[in-house]
Order: sequence, then structure tokens, then C-alpha cells
Amino acid sequence: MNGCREFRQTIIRFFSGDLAENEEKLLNKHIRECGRCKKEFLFHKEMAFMLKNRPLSEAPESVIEKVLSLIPEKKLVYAKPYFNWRIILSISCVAVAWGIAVITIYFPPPLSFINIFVNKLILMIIKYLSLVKNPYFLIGVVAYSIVFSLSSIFFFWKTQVREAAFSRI
Amino acid sequence: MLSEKELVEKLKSGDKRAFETLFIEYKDIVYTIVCRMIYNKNQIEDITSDILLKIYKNIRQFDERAKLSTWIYRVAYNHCVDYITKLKRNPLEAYKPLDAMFSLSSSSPNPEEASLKSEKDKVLYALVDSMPERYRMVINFYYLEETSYKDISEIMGIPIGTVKTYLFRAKVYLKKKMQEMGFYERM
Ligand SMILES: [Zn+2]
Repeated sequence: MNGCREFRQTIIRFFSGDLAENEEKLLNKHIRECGRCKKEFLFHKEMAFMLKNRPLSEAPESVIEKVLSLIPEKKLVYAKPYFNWRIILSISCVAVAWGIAVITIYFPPPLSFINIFVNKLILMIIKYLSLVKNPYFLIGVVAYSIVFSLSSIFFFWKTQVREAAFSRI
Repeated sequence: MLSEKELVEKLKSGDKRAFETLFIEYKDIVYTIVCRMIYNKNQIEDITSDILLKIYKNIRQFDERAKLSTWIYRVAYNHCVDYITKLKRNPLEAYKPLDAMFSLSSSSPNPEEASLKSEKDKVLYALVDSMPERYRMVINFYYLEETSYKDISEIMGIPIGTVKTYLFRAKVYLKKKMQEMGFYERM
């Protein structure tokens, strides 16, 4: 009955869906010939059936209610990965603004320089606002960049707060 | 009905209704996983809620290329493993895996008399519940919604070969025990 011992193992593997086609054929043939292995086969068949049909335990509704009460009704806007393009863009804008401000403090450009490089339309607007000739022009640039910095820090902070609110739940 | 892809999109956008749908679909199965892993019966509801909350909090970590059910089972399994590990550190709360067997043998002292099919089921399920955690959960996951070897290996974080070995040994063990209890004549 040496062969039978091997077939006992094959039977278990059969019910784990783990047999090659030729193994399955051999097993089939053996079961038809051997009453004891057939019995074993039927035992495992029944066991597999019982395990497959083990009913799920029913969870009480309170399980869901408890969790749903913790989830905010409003859709959350999630912050994208830490370095998203908006953050990079606003940081570089601020850097450029500060750079211009600092450079113009130490190397005030002549008006003709501005004439060449600044768009005529902008120049017109600046002239209209009489800012170019105004000594407070630099102060304006600095003030503008401070506002820009604060607004980007605020934007950054807001996304972090959202993120934090999301992970705190 | 939403497709899984659409559902996942909604879940990732934080849609509360989508989470409700998901929870209704998975609550029994998560609850069952907890029941079959944790013996401390009065903790099961809380643990199930904690798992659902974890699913909500971590849904963005779910990779769409994977199966949602496998990911959920893994969250549930890992949460239970963490819970058991914590319990083991506290000897007063140490769990007793053989409880199920003890209560069973006292209610039906003579297995030969218990010829009802439902009794046989009960014995088998109690035997499964009395097995060591990893064997028990391999058997449970294998028969839970037809989970594949690959899925089980992902859920439990063990190699596929080990899953197969555990499943094989668990079945040998169950057969031996069922015979010892007189449900089958020795073959
Ligand atoms: Zn045989």
C-alpha cells in the first residue's frame, strides 16, 4: 500500500487546487480502483465543502455607524505629494521677486535699462501710476514680495492643515 | 453598481457615500476575520471599527493595480496581528486559543452520538479555531471568498510556498483530529 500513502497526499493537494493534469488523471484512476483512498477522497471533499460553506459572522450595524460618524461629510481636498508644482512655482516666484528687490537696492537700474527690457504696456502702467520716478518704487517691490511670500506660506500652511485634519481622524 | 475602479476613485477623493458602500460590502467579512483571529469576544466590534477606520485613513496607499479585497484583508490581518502582539505583552490578558475546543468538548462529550451534520460542522470549525494562528488563518483565507495562494501570501506577508505548506499541514491535522473524535473511521 505504498502507493496509497502518496495518493493520500495527492488528495489533499487536489482539494487545494494544486495538481498538475497528469497527477489528476492518475489520482482519478487510483480512486476508482482503491476503496480506502476513495473514502479518504470523500472525507476531504466533505471537509472542503464544510470549510467553504462556513457562514460569515454578521457584524452589527453599530460597527459601521461608529466609523461613519467620524468621517467628515464634506469632501476633503487632499494635498498632493509634498513638493507639488504649485508650491515649487510660488517659492520660485517669491525667490525671483526678492532677488529683483535685492539687486535693485544695490544696483539701481537706469531708466533706459528698464525702457529696453520692460514691456511697453507695463511701463505705461507704471508711468501712469508714476511709480518709476517715485523713490518708493523699491519699497513697493519689497512690499509686494512680502505679500506674495505670506500668501504662499498661507497656501502651504492651509494644505498642511487639511492633510493633518485628514490624518488625525 | 460602481465598478471597483470607480469606487476606488471615489474612495480616494474622500467621498463619504463611497465609504458607506464599501463598509456595507465588507463589514461582515472583516468582522469574520476578526472573530477568527481574536479570542477576546468583547473586543471584536471595536477592533472591526478600528479596521474600517484604518481603511478610510489609508485608502490613498492602496495601489489600484492590486485587488481591493486583498488589500482590505491585509489591513484587517495586520491590525489583528498587532492587537495580539500587544496582548501577549500583557500576561493577564493573554489569549487562550484552546477555549473553543474546551467549550465544545463539554457540550458534546460523546462525539459518536453527535451524528447531526451541523454537529460535525461545529466540531470542524472549532478545530480550525484551535489551530495556531498562521495555520488557522491560511485555512480561513483560503476558503474565504476563494482567495488564491498569491492573495494569501500578500495578505499574510509569507511566501507562496509557505502558504501551501501551512494549508497542507492544516488539512492533515484536521483530518487526524476529526478521526480521533470519532467522526470518521480510521483509514
Ligand atoms: Zn489507495
